[in-house]
Amino acid sequence: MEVMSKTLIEVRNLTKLYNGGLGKPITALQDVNFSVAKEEFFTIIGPSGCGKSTLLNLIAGLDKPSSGEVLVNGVKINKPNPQLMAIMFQEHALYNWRTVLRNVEFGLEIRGVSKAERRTKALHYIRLVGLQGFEDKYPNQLSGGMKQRAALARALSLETDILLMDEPFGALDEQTRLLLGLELTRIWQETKKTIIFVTHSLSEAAFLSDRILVMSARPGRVKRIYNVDIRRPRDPNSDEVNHIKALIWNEIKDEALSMMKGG
Amino acid sequence: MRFKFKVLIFQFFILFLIILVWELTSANVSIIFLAPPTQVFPLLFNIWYYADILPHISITGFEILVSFGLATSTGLSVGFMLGTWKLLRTTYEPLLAALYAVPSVVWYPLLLLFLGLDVASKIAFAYILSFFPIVLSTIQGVSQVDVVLVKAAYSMGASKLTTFYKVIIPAALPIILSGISTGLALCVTGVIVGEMLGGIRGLGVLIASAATRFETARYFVLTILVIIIAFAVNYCGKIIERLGGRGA
Repeated sequence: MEVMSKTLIEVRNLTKLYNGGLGKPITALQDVNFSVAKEEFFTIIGPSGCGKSTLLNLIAGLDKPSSGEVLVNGVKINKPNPQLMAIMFQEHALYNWRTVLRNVEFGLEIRGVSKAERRTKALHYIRLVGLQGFEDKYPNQLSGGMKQRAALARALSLETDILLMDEPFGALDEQTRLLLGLELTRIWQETKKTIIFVTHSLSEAAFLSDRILVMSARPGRVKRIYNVDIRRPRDPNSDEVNHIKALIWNEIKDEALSMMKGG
Repeated sequence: MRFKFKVLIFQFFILFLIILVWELTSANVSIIFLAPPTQVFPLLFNIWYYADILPHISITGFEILVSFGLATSTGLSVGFMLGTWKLLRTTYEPLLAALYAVPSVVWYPLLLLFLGLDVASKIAFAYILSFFPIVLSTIQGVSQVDVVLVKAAYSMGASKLTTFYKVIIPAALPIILSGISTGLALCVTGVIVGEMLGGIRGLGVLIASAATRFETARYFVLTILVIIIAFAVNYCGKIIERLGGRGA
């Protein structure tokens, strides 16, 4: 299947420098190269501070690379393109003054979709993420998991081919995280999206992904890309999943340690 | 409901207690120092008594409205500008904060000198008092909006302008409104104090003249009027703050 699928996203020689404040620029990313196939679930994992989120922001067009480029369908990305990519953040980023329904409608509102149509779409995606009955609640009336569901519905409502997720379940407890992972798999299969998923959780990576990109500690580089050839539906506690977890952990261990020591 | 009723009972009880103590004290004190409630309240509820007071009340009200309107409009515009423009904010916010700490009364003699004894100097003084909390809270509200909210809007294709009025303003609203409410209260203080310190017309002028002439009953009637105005304004402030609703 992998061989036949066609490339959708291409990341070429991506480098990102930051002003460190002490005059010396910090290299957040260096010469990152990879490509993601259509309808693939692609995960980026690495020690915290390795530039995973920076990488995702560059792919999203929310930030400009110092050199290199991101191509989607062969076209260079230099600003956010909501027709092509929807993004979900670790913080739910919901608007507290809007109900769940109006939060989910936000992107469509910006796009200029008529009121009736955006309502229909929003309600559809609220149902898809299992939030029916909570349309008229405000974000601070929801639990952490429900907020992320609402944020997911908002991202899905844009009906883009690509979904970028920046540690979307990172702030949730383990059980909620596992449940949402299961649902994300279902939604991904139903909607046939291409997902780039950033995480620091080994279990999440092994359980969800088609391929896993392991990043090195700063400066962030591609250390290795793993194929996860486990049949779906997967069991999060199966030997195969645990085997992948162990492989990634071995790869990542020294990197995490060097980050911790401030190397 | 029952709880609210109880609170109301207690509030009336305190009021009654104050009036009682007032009455008892004034029985033993010269009328020059303290007029008894039995003398003040009949005046307070006598419509004819207001024939000469009413124009002054409307002048005071006019000063409050104009200075508050000016402070709100300029405070919001300057606040939005500094809040969104980091260079301007870093340059001027410390200056504004330092000026806010200066006791504004020090400017008043200058204002009287430049603007005269009449309405203009009161409006200017009240403006100075209420401008600062409004501009400072607007700067704070706008500059502290969570970046991820803005990033999310950009990622969904919102322009800078759309993001400003669909995300930044609503997100900053609760803090801005509490600044406006503080500004309103200070504006009333500014107008009354300004009138009392030196003026031609207005409730504060009447209070000052009643006090210097030892017209104690009149002084109390006017003071109670100010208290009523202050309560009304405070209530308006609460309503303004509640407009912020669910935002946070």
